Amino acid sequence: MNFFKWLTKIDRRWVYLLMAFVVAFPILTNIKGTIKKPSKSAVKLFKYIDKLEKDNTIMLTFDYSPDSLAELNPMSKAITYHALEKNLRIIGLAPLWPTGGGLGLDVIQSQVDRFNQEVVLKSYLDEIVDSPLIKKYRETNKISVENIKTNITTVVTAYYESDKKTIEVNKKLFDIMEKNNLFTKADKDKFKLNGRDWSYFGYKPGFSSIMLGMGKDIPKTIVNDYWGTPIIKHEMFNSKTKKVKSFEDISIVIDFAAGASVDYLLLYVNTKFGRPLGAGVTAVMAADYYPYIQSGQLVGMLNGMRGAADYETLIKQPGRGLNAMASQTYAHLLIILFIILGNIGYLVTKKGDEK
Amino acid sequence: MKRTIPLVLVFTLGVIYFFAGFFSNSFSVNFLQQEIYANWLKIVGTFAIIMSVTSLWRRNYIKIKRKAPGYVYNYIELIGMVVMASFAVLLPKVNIGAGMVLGGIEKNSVFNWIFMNIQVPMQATMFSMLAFYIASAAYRAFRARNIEATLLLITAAIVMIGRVPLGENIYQAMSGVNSHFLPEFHWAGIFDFQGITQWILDIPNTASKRAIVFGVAMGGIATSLKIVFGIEKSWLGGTE
Repeated sequence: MNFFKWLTKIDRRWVYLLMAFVVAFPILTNIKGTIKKPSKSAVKLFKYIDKLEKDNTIMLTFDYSPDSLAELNPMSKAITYHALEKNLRIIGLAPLWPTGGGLGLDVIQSQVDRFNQEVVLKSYLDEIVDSPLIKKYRETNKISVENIKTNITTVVTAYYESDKKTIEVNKKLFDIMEKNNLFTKADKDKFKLNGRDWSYFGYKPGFSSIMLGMGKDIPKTIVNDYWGTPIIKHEMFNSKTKKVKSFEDISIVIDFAAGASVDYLLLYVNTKFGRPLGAGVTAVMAADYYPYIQSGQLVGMLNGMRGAADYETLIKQPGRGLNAMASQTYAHLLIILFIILGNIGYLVTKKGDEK
Repeated sequence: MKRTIPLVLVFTLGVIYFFAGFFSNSFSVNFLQQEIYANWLKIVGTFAIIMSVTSLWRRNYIKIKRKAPGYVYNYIELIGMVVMASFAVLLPKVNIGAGMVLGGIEKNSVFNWIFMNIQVPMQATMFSMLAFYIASAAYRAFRARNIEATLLLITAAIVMIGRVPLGENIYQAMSGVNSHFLPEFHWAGIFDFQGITQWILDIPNTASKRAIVFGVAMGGIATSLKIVFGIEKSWLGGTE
């Protein structure tokens, strides 16, 4: 077989091997990509969220399963963090995909924990981690500094949320902190607390009835949150001055989708109840939603991993999205290289055959 | 009777949904949408869950009983269903150490641990295989066989470069060269892969997609009307 013929028939295992290498190498060596000019649709969504005022409420819907997690988690985490930073209230649910129930919780909880630990508790944590009693507790139980910071954040949050189960699990640490008045040093208002600043419903079956119901009365429709607590007990839904009653009180709904859920939400959230809708979708389905951005039915959209990298750039919080940009660049280059090689081989052998 | 009752049901529900969906007066919103449609859906949905669990159980049980090829997977499916449902609903929420609780669906529950540490990696692994198949398929299928295929090939290459930071870097580098060489003519614009990609998505993609969506919607409305009015009956099964 001559060289050009070989170019058209490279063994697919070489393609696989090279692809594995170009994807893994940047991740393993921590090479990061940078975005200079974020996409137009990502900027639109960012600007919309950024201009919302304190205590406005956004609803995040998680309609994906673990197979799309790598693409959709970075963008959902970036938006959640942005909302927390802006002091917006967050409602999360998975209206269509049962698997989205667990994934959505992980996204919101991880960002709330991160916010409470990194932003609010930073000075407070450094002070109490070094206190003799905590130091002794950490050394006796062989807990690293990073882990004790996480545990303290969990305990302080549970204290303010009156979360008895979590307090029970961390009883020893809770007792030490209570005896030494360490809770009083933290500022409750700055914390992001479940029920006051965020609420998570999990997977709720019966999409159409749920959507129609939330257009009229959210507490009546949803009834209980993810943990089985009646949501009417949450400050977010029973506050006299700023309670959330229906879609009317939601500033924007953002759907993270790996399927056709955006189409359904367009029907209910946007068309029926007239609420703004944003989307974060996998790259493979993004092309389907550009008509809705142009028509204004979608406020903005994050398109695949690049969308996550765009949003992370806009909020100045580098994360997995930007991390993956280097891998994606090399992977795209490799595919283009193979396409070029295949075509050179094809065109040359075709000319030879014609002669 | 077997055909008349479903036809009457479809007609009645079709008309109710039509008024519930297309009109916004208080009768449509409060009665048809909330009281009738939303509540009925909940009831039907609940029975559907019972039916699906029963059907799943029966299908697997029959395969196991007959020792059909691969019946071991049917065991796995049933065990998975029972184990997950037990941890979520039946077992008590007691502390089992290492910050974990036995029952429930909380973040530190066994249910969530299984989901995050078994299902998530398995599904993510399956999907990540796509990168390899796409690379291999693109290499073998993207051939400049005719004008249409060549256009597709060029468009794909532009979008692939325009969607990654490399596209921005090439344009920036070329703009730098442009400023030194023939600055009066902005030839570096042809290297603006990000801009060209955005144009492809905003204009030709949007136009063609809108045409498809419009066609599908019209077709959907026509088919729905035919079903509601009993003109189209193939969904009943059998032949007329």
